[in-house]
Amino acid sequence: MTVYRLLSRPSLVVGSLIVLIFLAVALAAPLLAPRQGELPFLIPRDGFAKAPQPPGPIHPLGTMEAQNDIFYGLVWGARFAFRLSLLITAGRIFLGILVGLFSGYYGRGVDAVLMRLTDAFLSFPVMVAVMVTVTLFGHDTYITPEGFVYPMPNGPKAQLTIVLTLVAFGWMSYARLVRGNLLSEREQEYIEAARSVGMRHRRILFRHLLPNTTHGLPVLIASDIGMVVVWLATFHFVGLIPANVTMMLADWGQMLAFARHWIVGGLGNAFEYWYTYLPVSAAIVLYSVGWNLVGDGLRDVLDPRLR
Amino acid sequence: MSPPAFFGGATSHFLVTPKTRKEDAVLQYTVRRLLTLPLIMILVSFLLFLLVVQLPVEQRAAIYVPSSNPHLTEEQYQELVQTIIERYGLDRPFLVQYGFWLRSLVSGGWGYSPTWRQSVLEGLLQRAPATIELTLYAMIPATALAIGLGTLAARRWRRVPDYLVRAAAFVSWAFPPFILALILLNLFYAWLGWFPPERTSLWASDLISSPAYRPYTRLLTIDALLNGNLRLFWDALRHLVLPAFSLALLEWALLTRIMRSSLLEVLGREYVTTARAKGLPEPVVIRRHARRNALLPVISAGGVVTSLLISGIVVVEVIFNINGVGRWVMRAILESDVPVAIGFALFSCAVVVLTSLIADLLYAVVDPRIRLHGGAGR
Repeated sequence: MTVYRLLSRPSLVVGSLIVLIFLAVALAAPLLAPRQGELPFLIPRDGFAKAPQPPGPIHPLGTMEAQNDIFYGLVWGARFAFRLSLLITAGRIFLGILVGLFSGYYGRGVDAVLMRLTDAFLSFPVMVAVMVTVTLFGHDTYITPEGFVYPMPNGPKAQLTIVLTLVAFGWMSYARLVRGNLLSEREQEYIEAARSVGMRHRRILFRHLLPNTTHGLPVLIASDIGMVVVWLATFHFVGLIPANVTMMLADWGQMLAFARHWIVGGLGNAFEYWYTYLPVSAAIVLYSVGWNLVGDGLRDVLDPRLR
Repeated sequence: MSPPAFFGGATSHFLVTPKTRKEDAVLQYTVRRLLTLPLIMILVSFLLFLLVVQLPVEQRAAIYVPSSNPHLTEEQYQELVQTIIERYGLDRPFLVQYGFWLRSLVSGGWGYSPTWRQSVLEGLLQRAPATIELTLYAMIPATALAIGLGTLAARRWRRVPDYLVRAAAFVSWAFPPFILALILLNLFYAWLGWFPPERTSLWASDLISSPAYRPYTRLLTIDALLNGNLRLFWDALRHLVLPAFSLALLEWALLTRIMRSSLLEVLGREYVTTARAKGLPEPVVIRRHARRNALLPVISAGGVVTSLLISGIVVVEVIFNINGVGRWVMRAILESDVPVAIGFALFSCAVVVLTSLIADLLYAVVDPRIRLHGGAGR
């Protein structure tokens, strides 16, 4: 019955299919694009020509400006996208559920403080939060053997900053959802029963309430995973995360940012370098659309009230 | 009544249940909401300051040192940094420093931007008109279309118009705005040459800086009309089409989806059935009885929409090279300009908090269960 309901939603089927294809590509990355060199997430570089190279037998999707293979970047970028988006979403869920549970369960003062805090966090647009933290903490440097200090764009510190920021400024909708669910669940008789036998708060919270407050969570998670990748790509593109030319990461966002000078072609020859941006854009769009379809489908199945 | 789950009830959702007198309830609610505004802004500023003080003192002092001044030796530099720390009390206790900062914020001292060589507040206000104009041209059509098409989709539920609107809203929602902006730029500028980027053409910017042109509102399209220059108006409009469209699409999608699902829910209510049973024609049922209720979730999405809009403005202004607030802050951030980053963050948080406040108050006004002026029904 459940399987039938799941399969009867075309958006869910199509969305899962897209996500599964991405997952397959991510898992099969070493087979599709054999790694060259020590670090698999660095796109191998081939030569020092000045312009992107069109697709050919060696590079199935051509190369970028710095002669990095686009196909390699796409394939390993899928793995990178999954890692980042799942990690960030997991962090958000964890924080959000924690805040929501405490806020809803203890009520009164705790609730008031936590909810005002949620409001404060909600008033930060994502982009603005990342702007602040990147400006403050996102600067890596490296020191050459001769002792010179150089700035290093998109170093480990910058990446950590962005992941932490997206977690720290993205838990609010989970907290509100869990709190809302919990407020109605708190008054149920089984909670009273649990309390009457002297169960400790923590046990009631995590054993009894938590499993019953996840209504609507899958929908939020699915659309969040897609959104995270889009945001990351956006940050790369506007230059919040500067591209590191010497270490070309297989990150869709960074690849697209790196292609920006080749996107708007000359007048009359607008699409000359289509291969530098179209495949990567398509990957980002499809990833986002796929997860959003899953979210939409799940909502139809789980919450038939809202169609 | 609850907003669609796809943004997880992220709107500030509030229901007034009037117990004694409705006007009292509204007044009480309004006062309470007005009081939370400064509270949230204090929390926001505290949060920002908490982030800033994570930097070591020397680094914070270095913000005030003119960057890459070649005439300073290492010793002089250290001395300068120490002077700055002492003068501005950067080594004082956290709360004392926070108090200093808050006081200067209130009196208009938002810091000095080394990148733009200008006070932060001044720079912000100088570039605000371009951004406001872009936002107006994006949001007015987007909101009107969202309400109209959302209504259409709900009325023609599970028929062709519904499917079309839903598909369009879904694609617009899932499609990254910056990629859309690029595709548009490539199609309509590089290929067809219809809509160029930036705010004006060259001849127009010459005209604007000439003494004959009088800036009244500093919104280009309106000023052009006030100056009686139709050619300038047309030029400004041409430059607004693509950025406004790319900015509006995401918000349109969000609002359309909210409008549609909330109207669908309202149309299933008993009082709508009653209205239909009375023999009222369908347009009257929608206009008088259903739409007002259905608008509530749309209104309470105000805060979320504003927050999305601010992120979107930065992206659109960078891509279309529009000299507004978004490009101003992005340029400064590339130079690690801390005062601009913090100032912009404060400003945008204030805008978001203010819009959600207005949305909440509007909610109380629109909600047919609460009437401000006695029982004068509509």
